[in-house]
Amino acid sequence: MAPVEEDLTGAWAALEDQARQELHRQGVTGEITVSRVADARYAGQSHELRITAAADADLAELLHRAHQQAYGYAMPEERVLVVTLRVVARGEPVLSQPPGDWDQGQPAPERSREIGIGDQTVKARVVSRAALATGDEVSGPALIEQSDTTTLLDADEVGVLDDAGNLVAHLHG
Amino acid sequence: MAELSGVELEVFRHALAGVAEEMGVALRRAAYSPNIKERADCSAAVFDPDGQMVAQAEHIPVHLGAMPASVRAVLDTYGALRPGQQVCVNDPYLGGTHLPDLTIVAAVGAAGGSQRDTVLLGYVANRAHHADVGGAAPGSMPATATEIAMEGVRIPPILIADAGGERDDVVRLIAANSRTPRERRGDLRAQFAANHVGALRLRELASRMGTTRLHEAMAAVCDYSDRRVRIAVAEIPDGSYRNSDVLEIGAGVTIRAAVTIAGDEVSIDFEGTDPQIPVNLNAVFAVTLSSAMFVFRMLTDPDAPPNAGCYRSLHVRAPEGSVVHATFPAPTAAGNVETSQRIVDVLLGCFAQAIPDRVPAASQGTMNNLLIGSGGDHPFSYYETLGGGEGGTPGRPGMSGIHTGMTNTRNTPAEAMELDYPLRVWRYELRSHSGGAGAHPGGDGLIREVEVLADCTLTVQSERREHPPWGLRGGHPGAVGRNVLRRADGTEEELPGKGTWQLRRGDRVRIETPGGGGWGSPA
Repeated sequence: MAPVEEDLTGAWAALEDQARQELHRQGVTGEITVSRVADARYAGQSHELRITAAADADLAELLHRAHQQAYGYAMPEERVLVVTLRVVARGEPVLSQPPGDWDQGQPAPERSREIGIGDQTVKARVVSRAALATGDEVSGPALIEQSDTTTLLDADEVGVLDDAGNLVAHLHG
Repeated sequence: MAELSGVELEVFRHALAGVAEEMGVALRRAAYSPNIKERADCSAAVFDPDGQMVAQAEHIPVHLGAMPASVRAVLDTYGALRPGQQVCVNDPYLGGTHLPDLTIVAAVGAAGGSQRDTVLLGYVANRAHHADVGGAAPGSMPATATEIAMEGVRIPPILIADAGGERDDVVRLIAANSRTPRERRGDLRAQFAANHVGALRLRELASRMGTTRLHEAMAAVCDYSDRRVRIAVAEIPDGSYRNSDVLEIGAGVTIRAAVTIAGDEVSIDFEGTDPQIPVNLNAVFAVTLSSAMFVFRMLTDPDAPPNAGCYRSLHVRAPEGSVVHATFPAPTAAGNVETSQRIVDVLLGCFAQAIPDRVPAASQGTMNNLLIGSGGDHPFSYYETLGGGEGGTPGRPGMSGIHTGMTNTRNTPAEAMELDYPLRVWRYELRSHSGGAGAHPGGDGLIREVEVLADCTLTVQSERREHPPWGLRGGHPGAVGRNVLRRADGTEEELPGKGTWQLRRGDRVRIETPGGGGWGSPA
């Protein structure tokens, strides 16, 4: 928290650097736009108003306006406190090819299991998603298991792993 | 008059209640004092152009029953207000309750139209407890007051804002009479914020529905509540039911009531109640009416849309000059908080004779008012009402450490207290085994121990220190409360229920609040 008169240039710059670096790490090489958001209030209050601020904005003035808008009055004679600074960085990643190298852990060996589908009991293949490679097909009835979900393929469905690692299910026939 | 379909009625009643809810949120967000920000000691309501209450939020019962009287007083003084005008009042003898509660009423005009011929949609009003409004002790509830002039600044209905905005001269005058003027200005402006938001939302509603339809709907939702409540009243056996209880002042000040049920109408008469007293537990009629409305709503149809229609079948009489219908210059600061709770107890006892399977045992029956503050160059004013035991109910045990009856405030968190005041919280815990035994035991009270880090003044206003909260249907009474002063040198003295004392830095005050009464015989 800081009084609005304090020089916040360093604080903003540090946040912007952090945001840009994170985008670079995620594969953004093109243009990055950065916007600033501050939570501020009058000294004595406990609830901040959120204001969007251009680079050289007068935060106190923006708070007076936001307060007038929300509550019908401003208090230009009262101290303004800035409680939180936020930076939002936006950039588009350029993907020349789909990512396909995530770590899904050790695949379990394939097995089979009796399962109920509708009012029928069938024998299903039980396959680890981690065991599948691009182009692999799995015909139903089958369960494809991974750490965070299970996919059911019915008897008339076949699942194919595409080059982005998506499992695409097609109906037979 | 046009009818509303069931769907229209439901949508409308929630839209209108939403206006009051949003007002309360704005008030809390823009306020300065922990009283309002943390404790939410404030209320908001919406009124039609004639001053009938058409919606309220689930705020403080003792405020909400009395607010219509304030609006009435404002309209009696100024006539119909013009959109843009706001009037402030705290005078207990003109619709207020006690001096710290300031009500601001604003006229709302339809969008568009010139200043002169804007259609009046209705009024929005909010009431907030201001931490200090002057008087003989910080917090403005001094136990030494024998007349209202000793309790603080009395504000009859006064125009506090108009088309040009806040009236700086009036705000300056009010702030100058408080020990904490900066906080007063911040809180008064937060009350403007609440009315600003309320007016905005009411105008939006009128733009969507049309003004005529809005007023038809306001009338319809009141009629609807009236119908629902009368159905519930008709189910209570006819008869006259009497009860009495005491305030712990001197040899005891008795409040008597007779509740008469006849068909779908209820009359409550406080004939036989003791006269008003030179101690500030006098209740003005607005407080008494508020208390009766609370019990009435609770035992008839608590889900009916809360508005003036709920109370058309309720008629309340109290002898003028009695402690439940006090007249000038009786002091009233604690009437609002303590006497209101006792009136609730008396009335619950009456109804318990009529509908024994539906009435709970007595809850703690006090608000355990704790006030610490000082004036001068480093002024502060801390005020808190402390929770306690809820009475056991026909369906379940009473809850522990909560607000019951005419209060619905939150507590002041220890963090907020220590940040804003020279206070340190040493204990804040439930008070084990203080609830009365019963098939459904009463809830436990709580213990709060606070050290003062500067010389200051302490006021305590509390009850149920001698006469415990009663049990019902064989349930046992809850434990009485205790107030203890522990001086910096370690010596402890038991304090009476009410008093104002000077504290030195390092002194501590400990309040142990009453438990609730039990319901039904213990196993």
